[in-house]
Amino acid sequence: MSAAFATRSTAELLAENERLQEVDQMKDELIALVSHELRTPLTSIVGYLELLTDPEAEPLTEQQARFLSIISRSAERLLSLISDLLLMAQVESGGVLLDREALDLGAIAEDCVASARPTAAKRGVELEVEIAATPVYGDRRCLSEVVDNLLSNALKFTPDGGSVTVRVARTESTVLLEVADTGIGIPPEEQAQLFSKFFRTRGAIKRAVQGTGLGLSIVKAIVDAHGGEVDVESEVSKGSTFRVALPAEEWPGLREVT
Amino acid sequence: MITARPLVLVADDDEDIRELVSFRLSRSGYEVVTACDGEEALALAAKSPPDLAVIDVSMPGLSGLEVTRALRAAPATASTPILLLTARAQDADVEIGLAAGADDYVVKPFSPEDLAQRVASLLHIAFASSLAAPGLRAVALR
Repeated sequence: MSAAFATRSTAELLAENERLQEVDQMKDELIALVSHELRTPLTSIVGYLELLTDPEAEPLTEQQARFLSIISRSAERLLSLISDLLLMAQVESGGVLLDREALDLGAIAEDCVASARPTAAKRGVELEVEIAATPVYGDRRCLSEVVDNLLSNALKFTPDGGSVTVRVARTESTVLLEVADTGIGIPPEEQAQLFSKFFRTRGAIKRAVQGTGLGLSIVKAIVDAHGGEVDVESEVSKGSTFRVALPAEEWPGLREVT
Repeated sequence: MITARPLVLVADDDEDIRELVSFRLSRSGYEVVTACDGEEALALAAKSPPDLAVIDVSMPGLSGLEVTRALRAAPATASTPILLLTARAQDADVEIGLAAGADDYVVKPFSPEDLAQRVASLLHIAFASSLAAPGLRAVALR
């Protein structure tokens, strides 16, 4: 009796396992398909926009230029959503595959800060840096994504006249990245959920701040894959500080970065 | 014989993207021929070997990777610079493309300006290496 039961459940488990593998494969295929199908029309949108706003094209009226810049911004949003979904899918199906090399986290952060400067200026937010050359063994694209995500959040949730500070430093055992803002802050009861997929704070929803709720879960997945930790310290109306600590291991070639 | 303008073969199954690439590259002064699938691309390349090929990776029938391998296998296009257009941003796909014999790639959506610059630099490199080994390439790019 119990043997028959055991046999059946093994068969059932095998069938269930097979079914789950099929579902998983379908999910991967769907993501690949969606990614391709979305990227192709986006190529036309972004490409023809560039031709229209090109210095060699016919001059535009002020209104036409403004409308085209709105189309362009929307296309960029769609594109970053597709990239986030793809990265998230990659994380879900077996984790982030890191392409590690000896890097300077300070230089990566400087680059991210430089590209965020126009947004900060437009929002009237002071962008400050305390960045030291800091060797780390990691994936360049992924670590840029971490800095970009934290920086873009900080800028989104910091009102006019506030400031955002990016710090990169190294202690004996840890490489530290810190993004601190003087923004709206996160209530304690929401802090634990911050790094869950698709989670959005009430503050973000109330203020209609654009976002997918994927950014911080991507940050966490990348930091985990590097063997590091990420946490947050925040007080409502005072601001938030996100801290990423990566292990400062000695790797071959790491010295050459400094 | 000197070809006045470099001949660029553009293969993509999406008509809008064919026109986008063809418009931008024509403006750079190249002569552009377009193909809407892999078979047509190979037929055009066999008829008049291009100085450079811009090929979409995902096309129905022969994929861009198969077209790349076929171009590499044909003596007339064995060293023709090939630039792939890919909608797949994952690095593994890019590696497969480069292993198939492509020289460069851009990920969709790409900037037409960036594409034009890459095409110019690939043609420049090809021209320089044809000067270094004149017997290898029968093209003269001006």
